[in-house]
Amino acid sequence: MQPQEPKEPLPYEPRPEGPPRRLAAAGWQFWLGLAAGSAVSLVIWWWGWERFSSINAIIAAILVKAAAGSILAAVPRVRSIGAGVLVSIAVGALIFFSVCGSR
Amino acid sequence: MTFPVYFEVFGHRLLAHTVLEIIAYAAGAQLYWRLRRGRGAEALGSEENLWVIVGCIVGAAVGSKLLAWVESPLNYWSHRADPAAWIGGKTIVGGLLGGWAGVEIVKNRLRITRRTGDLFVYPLIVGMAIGRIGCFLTGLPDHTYGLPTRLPWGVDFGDGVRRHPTQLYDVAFLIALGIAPRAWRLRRRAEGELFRFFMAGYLAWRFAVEFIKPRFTGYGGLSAIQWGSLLGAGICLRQVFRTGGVRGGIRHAAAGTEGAVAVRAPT
Repeated sequence: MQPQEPKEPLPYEPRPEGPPRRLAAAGWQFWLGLAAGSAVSLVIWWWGWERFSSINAIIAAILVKAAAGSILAAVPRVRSIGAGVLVSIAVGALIFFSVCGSR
Repeated sequence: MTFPVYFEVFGHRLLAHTVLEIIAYAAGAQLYWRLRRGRGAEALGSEENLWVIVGCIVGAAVGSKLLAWVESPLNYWSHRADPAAWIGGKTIVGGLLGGWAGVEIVKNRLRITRRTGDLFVYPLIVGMAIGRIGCFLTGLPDHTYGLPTRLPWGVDFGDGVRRHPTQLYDVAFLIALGIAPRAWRLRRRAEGELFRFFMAGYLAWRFAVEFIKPRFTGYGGLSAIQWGSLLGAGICLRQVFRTGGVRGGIRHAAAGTEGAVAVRAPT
């Protein structure tokens, strides 16, 4: 066996300091949950709201999102997804199921 | 033009208001991320920023609904058995105040002492201006139109009465509000002052323009939106004056310099 020559360190730049990996993952999970929850609102608005003119689809969406978000938020590994789903209730209320007038 | 305006999208008939609102939120969010990236290391950390946005969204949703209910209590009471009516209304002023309150609550809990509002100003202006076009296209059901007028630009939303297109007045004012900081060299002022300038300006505008809208004036001759606007604008102006912002800004504008950070009075 030949003796190995000591390797020179690779000329990599040091990684810029950023948030810890766990936090970055939490961020992505949150946006994933928010996007998924908002997509549910979009689908219900697209298929249900105009067609049925019914409040039932909205109430069902709120309840399903609240339940799913709460369950996910209770599981440590996917807590941020749950938070995103819960926040999507507010997004749905702001965008899809209201107009600006107060009456 | 027939109000309310609907768009045909893939065989679906969609209310213009919601379509424009989706565009408004998407454009606002894109602009926000672009501006935040431009800040680089100056920007708040990712996780802190995430919670600030959560506070903003939830606060805006709660605030927009609450103020809508207080704005027209008699109408909501008469429809108290209809959940769609309770869910259906919202107000921009309530959304702004609620979003601001939500952010402040989050910052208080996370002990964030930095001002975070400046990055929201231009996304809000863009989003609100696009959204207001949606309000205009919705017409009478949106309840954001003005009082009847004989002015040549009065708009008939479908009932034969020409009204102030107050939604378009809002758009014009928002554009002016977006240009003003640049014109007054306020762009690089102390952290948080651009947001306060925007809030004070928009809320003062809303207080005034509400006088040419049909509204419930059961609160001492003013509407709930007007009281909310007064309260918010008052808080903003107080904070700006306490930090010497307005005087400092005027001094710097007169001197022809942009950066007023260095002379900001200690808080």
